Amino acid sequence: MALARDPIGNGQLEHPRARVQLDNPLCGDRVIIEVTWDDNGMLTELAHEVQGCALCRATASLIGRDTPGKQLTEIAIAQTELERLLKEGEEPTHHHWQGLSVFKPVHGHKSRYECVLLPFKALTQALEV
Amino acid sequence: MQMTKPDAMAFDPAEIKKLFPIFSSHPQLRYLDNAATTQCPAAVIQAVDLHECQSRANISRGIYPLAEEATEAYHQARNMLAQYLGAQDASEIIFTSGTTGAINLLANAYAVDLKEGDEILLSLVEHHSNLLPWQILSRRTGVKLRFLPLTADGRIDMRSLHRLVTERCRLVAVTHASNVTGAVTELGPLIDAAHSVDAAVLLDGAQMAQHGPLDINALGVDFYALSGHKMFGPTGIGLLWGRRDLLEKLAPPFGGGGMVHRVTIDSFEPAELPARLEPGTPPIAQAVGLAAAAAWLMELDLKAVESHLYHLTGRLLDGLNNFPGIKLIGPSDLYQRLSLVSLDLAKVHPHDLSQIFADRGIAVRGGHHCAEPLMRFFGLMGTTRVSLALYNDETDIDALLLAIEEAQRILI
Repeated sequence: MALARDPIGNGQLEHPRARVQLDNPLCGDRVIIEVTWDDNGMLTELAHEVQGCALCRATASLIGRDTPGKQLTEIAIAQTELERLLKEGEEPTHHHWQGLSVFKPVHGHKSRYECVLLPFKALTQALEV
Repeated sequence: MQMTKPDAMAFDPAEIKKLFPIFSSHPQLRYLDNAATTQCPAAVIQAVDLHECQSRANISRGIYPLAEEATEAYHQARNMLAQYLGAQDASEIIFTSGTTGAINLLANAYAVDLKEGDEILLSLVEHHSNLLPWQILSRRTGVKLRFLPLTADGRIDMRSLHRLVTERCRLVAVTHASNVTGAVTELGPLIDAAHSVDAAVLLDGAQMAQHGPLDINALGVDFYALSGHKMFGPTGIGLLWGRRDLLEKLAPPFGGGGMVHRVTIDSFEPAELPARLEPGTPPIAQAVGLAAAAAWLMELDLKAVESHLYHLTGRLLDGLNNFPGIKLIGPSDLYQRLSLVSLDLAKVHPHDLSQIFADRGIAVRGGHHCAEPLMRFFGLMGTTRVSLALYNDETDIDALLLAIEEAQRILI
């Protein structure tokens, strides 16, 4: 709830290298992610705007806190870790992504997985642009 | 339409609840998502089970006794639904997969005759099931869609009716009662305006169907669509009722077995109603189950049920009105709405509120309820919808109100 209440990285970038908007058709939630990265494949700046539930806002906030400064390849691992946590209940193994374990209580609530994953999906889509 | 205020009558939902096996399997369940799907009484489940165990065969073709038995069961199901709707002619009942299937059937059939520039009048309150089929039709044919606006409380605003129903209007398709606001549509002026230009009227009856038998001729509409699973029946079954003279004019939009008199390699001659609009093997057991649901509903003291639901809805509205930060969607007059209430709790997403409810065994629906244009009208992403049925009781309402208090503590 703390992550959802006090969003980290909320807003817009002045010169985003990529911008992706994703909607969750089930509930109408909307996530906009803006990012920049350097030529060495490091995410340098990220901003997000979320119209969504507490879980969606919390994920966006975690992304805003934990992804700047990370390599794009490491961010791709994060989404895999998160999906495994939600679907299998397995704790994150990569040392960068221990913070994802705050979402462990969502394991078993299938209808909420997309709420948690939507910001990550927007981010990984943005990084593929 | 103003609903009549019923006399207060004794009603025991606990006795009704015993008739629904789901509450034996889930004794703690507080099921308040009846606008999405109602539960099935044992009578319906047993009717489906009995049919599948004792009478299962394909219909209308086999000459062996089992096939004849199944065919008869399917015909009797149609007769029962005709009785439920008050239709004199059972062949005016076309079984479909549900309300969505019924409206799509009509839209596809209408596509044959409509021309660019013809108009269909809808409203902003419609469920996507009564919007998207017409949008698809519009893309195919160039038919223009027009929309009745809404009043501030989400009722269809009839003041612009005569401006919007033009000589080019071919069909007025609106909900009988909204799945979001619960508002019951005022039919009189709508039907008069449509018929004054020879336009037909379709009612989406998905939400109204659980509230008891209709008098379809007294309603004065031309087509009516409903779903079995929203009136205590099985999923996968619903119907389109239409006036015989109008149904006969519809060119069958879908082809298949069982819907023809004669077929050559170049053409076919469709069968009479209702077969011409029911190609392929129909949902036989589901039709039997739907008929059992209709029969079960017709045996109830529906005045008492209505009184019970008004009482619960009033208790819910009163309770919700005591919370700061709750906006209620829909008519404030209890007797202009069905027993469903949509709410917006400030600063709380409907899914988060629904999750708090779910964790306490309370089933509601949060989201846009397949009515995105309506959500845009209210400036909301979604609402939390509480929808009641005859097996709900005061403890369900009180548990929900208590959960809202907890949600405000946790989420705000």
